[in-house]
Amino acid sequence: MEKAKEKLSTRFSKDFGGYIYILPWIIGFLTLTLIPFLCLLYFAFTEYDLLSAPKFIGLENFKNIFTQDEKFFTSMYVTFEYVAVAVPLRLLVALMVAMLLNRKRKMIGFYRTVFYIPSIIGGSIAVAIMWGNLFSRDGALNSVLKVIFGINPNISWIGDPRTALLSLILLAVWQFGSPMLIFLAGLKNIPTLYYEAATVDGANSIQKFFKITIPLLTPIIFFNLIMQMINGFMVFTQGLVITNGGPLDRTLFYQIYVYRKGFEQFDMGYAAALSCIMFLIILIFTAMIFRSSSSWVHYESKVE
Amino acid sequence: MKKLISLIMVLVFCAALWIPVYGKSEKPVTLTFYWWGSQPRHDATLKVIDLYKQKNPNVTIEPQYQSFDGYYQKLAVLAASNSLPDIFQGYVGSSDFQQFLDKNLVECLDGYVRRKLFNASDISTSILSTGKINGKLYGISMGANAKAMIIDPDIYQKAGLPVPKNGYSTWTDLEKDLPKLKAATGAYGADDLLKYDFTLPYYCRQNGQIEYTNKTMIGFTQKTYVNFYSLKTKWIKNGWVPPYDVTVAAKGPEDLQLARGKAAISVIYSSQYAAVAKAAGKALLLIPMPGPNAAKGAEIRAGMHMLMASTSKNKDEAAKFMNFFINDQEANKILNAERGIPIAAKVRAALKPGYTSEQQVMSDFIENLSKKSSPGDPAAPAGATEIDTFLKDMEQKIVFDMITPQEAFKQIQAQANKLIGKK
Repeated sequence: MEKAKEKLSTRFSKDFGGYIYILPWIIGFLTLTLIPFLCLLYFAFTEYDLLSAPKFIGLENFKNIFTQDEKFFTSMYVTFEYVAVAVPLRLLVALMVAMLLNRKRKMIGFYRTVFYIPSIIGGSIAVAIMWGNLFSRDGALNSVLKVIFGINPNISWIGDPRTALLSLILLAVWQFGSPMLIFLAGLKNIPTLYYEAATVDGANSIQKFFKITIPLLTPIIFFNLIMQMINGFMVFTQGLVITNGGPLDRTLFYQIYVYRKGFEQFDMGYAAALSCIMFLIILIFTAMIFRSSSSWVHYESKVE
Repeated sequence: MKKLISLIMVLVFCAALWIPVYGKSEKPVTLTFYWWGSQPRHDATLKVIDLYKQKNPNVTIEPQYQSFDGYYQKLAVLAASNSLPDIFQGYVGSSDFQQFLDKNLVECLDGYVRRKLFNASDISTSILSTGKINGKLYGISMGANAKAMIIDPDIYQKAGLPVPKNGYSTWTDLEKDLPKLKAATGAYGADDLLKYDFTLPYYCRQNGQIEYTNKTMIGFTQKTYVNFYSLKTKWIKNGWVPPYDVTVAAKGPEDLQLARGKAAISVIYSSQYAAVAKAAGKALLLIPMPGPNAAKGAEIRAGMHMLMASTSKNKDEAAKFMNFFINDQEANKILNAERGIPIAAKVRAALKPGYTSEQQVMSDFIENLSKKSSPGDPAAPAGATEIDTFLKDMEQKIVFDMITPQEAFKQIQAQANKLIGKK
């Protein structure tokens, strides 16, 4: 008994130091994440217009979302389309660029920096506005097409319902910097020994890529896939600034719809309910990827 | 750090209270004033705030300002956190502002007028009525404004057309000029003149209808709606006005085709004249919106209203500042009619000799129109924002050829009925 007590107190004092160290994070987590999240859960079951006190209405919001709200399905569809196309493409490009930058070349540090720049400035309003100009009717893209290929498409890529989403997907792909850096780190961790052995055995570079690089990179791919998917579902700025959800709601991303409901139509309860649904979707997808990981992610040192 | 500073401030403040005060013994008051606008407006308004401080050392006005994007959103958040500014800009009668009034967040100003804290004797009743709801005064117009057509006379000359100085008498007359104007500019005849959120309400008015009514939500008939969009689609198809995506991409006056010499006609609020003329780099002409029944359609409106929060703790002081802002000549010389032509007659008279040519154009336009206009529409009913969004969706579907105006009207009507059912 005495011993157990002693153990407990030493254990506590040991842990206490740790908690002190992460205290700033804990405070941030509580005030900026956990408490707002709990509020959100509550608001989802209320009618709340910001100006008067929230009124509890049970499942009314969810009922309306699923039975009467066309825009909910539109925005869901647009967002899924975006995630399904932009995320794999971005990962692919990131991996390709990481492979290129993994060689020993002169000035490689410079190139790495340059390729990372789009991601640093990526989320900003300025880039969004620039993108809007590049893809507008008399933007740079059309000028290039005219001068080099002699064709004049005479459409606005961001203004036409058929191409608007594609333009935004391109922007997302162009911002491949952060997964690229992580891939690069992963590539550097693969021992050259394996490649040398494979060369001796007469493997060509394609075989090396699929038999060595990809399998050893799966933990990194796994991580990147999850992070980028979550990011993809939360896409907001580009759609708001460049196209404002239009034309014809073709870029009405889910978060833009949530924002409109909450801050433009002042229906916070409804917006909170929408957010809860997105939370569940992300949760399910993340769980699915985690579940599937055991069959395709290889860890070098597997702890059974 | 912030806390330390505020602690020191509090200590200094306490110390100051101990020192016997000589002279004015009025207690210090802090008011907050929140507005939207662009840089010239911010600069001028800040100067007026300084001027007020000089004249009333006990009153400190804390300014908060930004551009219009996100203004109402922030106002709502401020209201939700119970920290609504004492004085703020808004728009009585617009659907997105209505809820602030519905929630009793805006102070009724009649009492302050009666007690002479706010002097309304110099303001015409028609202008005052723009800020009234059910006969009660809530907002003070910060400047008179009206929908207008703006044209480039040089292009008319080039096209060999007479300049319609007094406005077109019908939309058909205007339409006849468009191909010739297009030939003269080599691009378009006009900017998009038929916007759901600008021209449609006017078009309804000139046909004796109103956009929103309390009973049926929408106050216009199928014929009105279909006529309006038939014109619009026809003009776009003929290339007389820019395609939809070009119009939507325009964010400011410099993006108007008119300002680039690629169109001869555009529609604006008269207070935007100076900005558009500046963007075009030359003098342009303001003319009334087209007829028929232009006088029925035209209305002198407030560019925006000045409002007091019902949650303010210093309401009398707030009223005094509002009075200063509207009625003080010196202040309005600094403000320079940037929010619209001043509404107090004496101020207007005092400012007139100093008008720039642009201000003169705006002032003349409003003065002429005031004889040929009708009172504004009643305030938009609750739910109008949803119809507004729907009107926008339908406009897009129509211009992208996914739906005919007839079908669009049917859908709008169905949506309106749904909203009525909810009430």
